[in-house]
Amino acid sequence: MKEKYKEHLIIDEKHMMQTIEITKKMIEKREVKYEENKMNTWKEFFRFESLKYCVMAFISMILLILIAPHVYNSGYVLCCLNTGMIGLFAMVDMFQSDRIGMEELLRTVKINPSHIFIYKSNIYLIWNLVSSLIFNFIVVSVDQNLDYMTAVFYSLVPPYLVSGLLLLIVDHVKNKSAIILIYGATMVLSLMMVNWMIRFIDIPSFIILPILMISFAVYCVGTGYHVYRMEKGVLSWN
Amino acid sequence: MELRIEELTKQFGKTVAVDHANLSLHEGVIGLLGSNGSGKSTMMKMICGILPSNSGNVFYENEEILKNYDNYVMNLGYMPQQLGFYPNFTVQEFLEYMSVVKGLKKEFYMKKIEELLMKLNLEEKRKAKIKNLSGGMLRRVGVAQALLNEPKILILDEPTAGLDPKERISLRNMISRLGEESIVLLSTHIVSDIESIADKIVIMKKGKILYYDTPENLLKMMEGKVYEVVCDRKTAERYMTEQIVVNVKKHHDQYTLRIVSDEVIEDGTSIEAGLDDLYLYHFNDEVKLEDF
Ligand SMILES: Nc1ncnc2c1ncn2[C@@H]1O[C@H](COP(=O)(O)OP(=O)(O)O)[C@@H](O)[C@H]1O
Ligand SMILES: [Mg+2]
Repeated sequence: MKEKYKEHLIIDEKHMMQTIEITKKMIEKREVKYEENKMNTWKEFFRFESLKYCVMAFISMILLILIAPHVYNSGYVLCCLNTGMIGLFAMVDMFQSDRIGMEELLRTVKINPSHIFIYKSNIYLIWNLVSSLIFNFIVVSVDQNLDYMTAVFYSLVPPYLVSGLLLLIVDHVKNKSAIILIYGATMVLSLMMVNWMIRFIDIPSFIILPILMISFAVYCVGTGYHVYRMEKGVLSWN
Repeated sequence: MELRIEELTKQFGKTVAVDHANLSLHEGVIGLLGSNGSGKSTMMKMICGILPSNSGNVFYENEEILKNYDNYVMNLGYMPQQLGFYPNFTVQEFLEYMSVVKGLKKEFYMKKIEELLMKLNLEEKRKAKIKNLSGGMLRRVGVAQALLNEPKILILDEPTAGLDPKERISLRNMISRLGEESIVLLSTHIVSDIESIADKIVIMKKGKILYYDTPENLLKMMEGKVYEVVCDRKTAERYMTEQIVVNVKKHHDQYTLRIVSDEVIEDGTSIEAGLDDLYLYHFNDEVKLEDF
C-alpha cells in the first residue's frame, strides 16, 4: 500500500535538493552527539534558564543600594527586600517550567526536571548570598557601620526557610494560586520576624548561626522530598 | 530493534485508559488509530516512561525501559499532544534549550537545528516567539525538538492536528522517510494521515488494542463489506439511519452512497474498501462530526 501511495506524494524538487545538500554536509562532519563535559552543559543551561533572572535581581539590587542611605535601618530591611525579590524570581521561574506539555517533554530528556530544579534553586540561593554580601559590603563601607553584617545572615533565613517549607507542601497542593499565596504570606511573615528580632530584642549574634543552620536544614529536607516525589512521577500540580 | 509492550494497563479512577495492551514494534511507521479518549496518549506516555503503569511493562531491546532510563531517553524523541512550550522563547532558543537538556554537544546541535529548520520549513520563523506561532508551526517545532537527538524511537502524539493540507503532506513525506531507520509511532484519529505512510496500524478502542496489522491485511477483513448504492433521496435517508454511511455524493436528484455493512446490500455494488471504511466500521458508535 505504501508503494501505491508513494507516487501520490508531492515532491518539491528544490526543497529536496537543498535537504540532500545539507544532509551531505552534516554527514561529512558528524561530531560526537553527546556532551561529555558537564560544565559546558550547565553553562549553556545557565544562559537559558537563570541569566535573565539574575540580571533582573542584580538591577533591583543596584536600585536598592541607591535608596539605602535614605532609609532608616536600611541595611537589613533592604537586605530582606532583596532576598524577597530573588525568591519571587525563583518562584516565577518555577511556575514557568510547570506548563502542560513542557513538563512532560522535560521528563523524557537527560537533564530532567528534578535536576533542573535543584540546579535552579541552588543558583538562586548562591546568587542571593553573593548579592546580599555585595550589597551589605557597599552599605557597610558607605555607612561605616558594622552592624549591617549581622543583617546579611539574617537576610538568608527567610529564603531558606520559606523555600524549604514550600518544597515540603508543594506536591500536596493542587491549586497554583494557593501556592503563590502561601509563599508570599510566609515570606512576609518571616521578614517581619527577622525585622522584629533585630529591632526590638537584642539577641546576640551567635544565635543567628543556629537559626540559619535550621533554615538551611529545612531547605535541604524540602528539596530532597520534592525531588523524591518528582522522580516517582507523582507531581500533582497539573 | 524492538520495542515491546506487555500487558500494559493504566487506570484513572474507574476509567481504564489502557487495558492489557500487547504490542511488538519494529522499524517503520506505525499508525495508532483511535477515536478521542481511546487511550492513545496514555499509552504513548507509558511508552515514553513518564507515566507509571498500573501493571505491565515496556521493553526496548529486551530491557525494561525504566531500568536504564537515562540510556533509553537518548534513543527517544517525543512530541506530546499538548504543546505548552515556553512562550517567550524564540523557535531557535527553544530548540537550543531542548538540545541542552537532552545533553547534546553544541557543535552537534547547532548544525542539527539548521538542518531541522530547513527540513521543516521553519527557517523564516527562527526568530519568532513561540507564543506568536500558528498551530501548524507550533506542531512543526514540536516535531523538530523530537528529532534533535536523531532518535531511534520517535513517538508523535497527533502530529498532524491543526496542520493545513500542504503542511500535512510535507510532514507525511518526512515521517515516511524517518520510518526507514527508526520506530515511528504516531497517533491520530484521522485516517488519511496514516493510510499512505503506515507500515502497520494499531487500532485502539476504549483502551483495548483491537487490531495490529498491515493496512493490506486490515483491508482484507473489509472485503465484501463495502457497497456503493445509487438511489433517490428517500431511499438515501433510509440507508443513512439504518446503515453505516461513509460518504454521500449528490448529483442532481441522484444520491450515491458509500455503505459499510455486514449484510448484503441488495441494490448496491460491492466496491474496494479503504481505511476510512474500516475506521467507521469499528468506531461508528462514537464518531463525531469534527473528526472529518
Ligand atoms: N490524567 C488523567 N486523569 C484522569 N483521567 C485521564 C487522565 N488522562 C487520561 N484520562 C482518561 O483516559 C482516557 C484516555 O485518554 P487519552 O489517552 O488522552 O485518549 P486519546 O489520546 O486517545 O484521546 C480518557 O477517558 C481520559 O478521560
Ligand atoms: Mg490524545
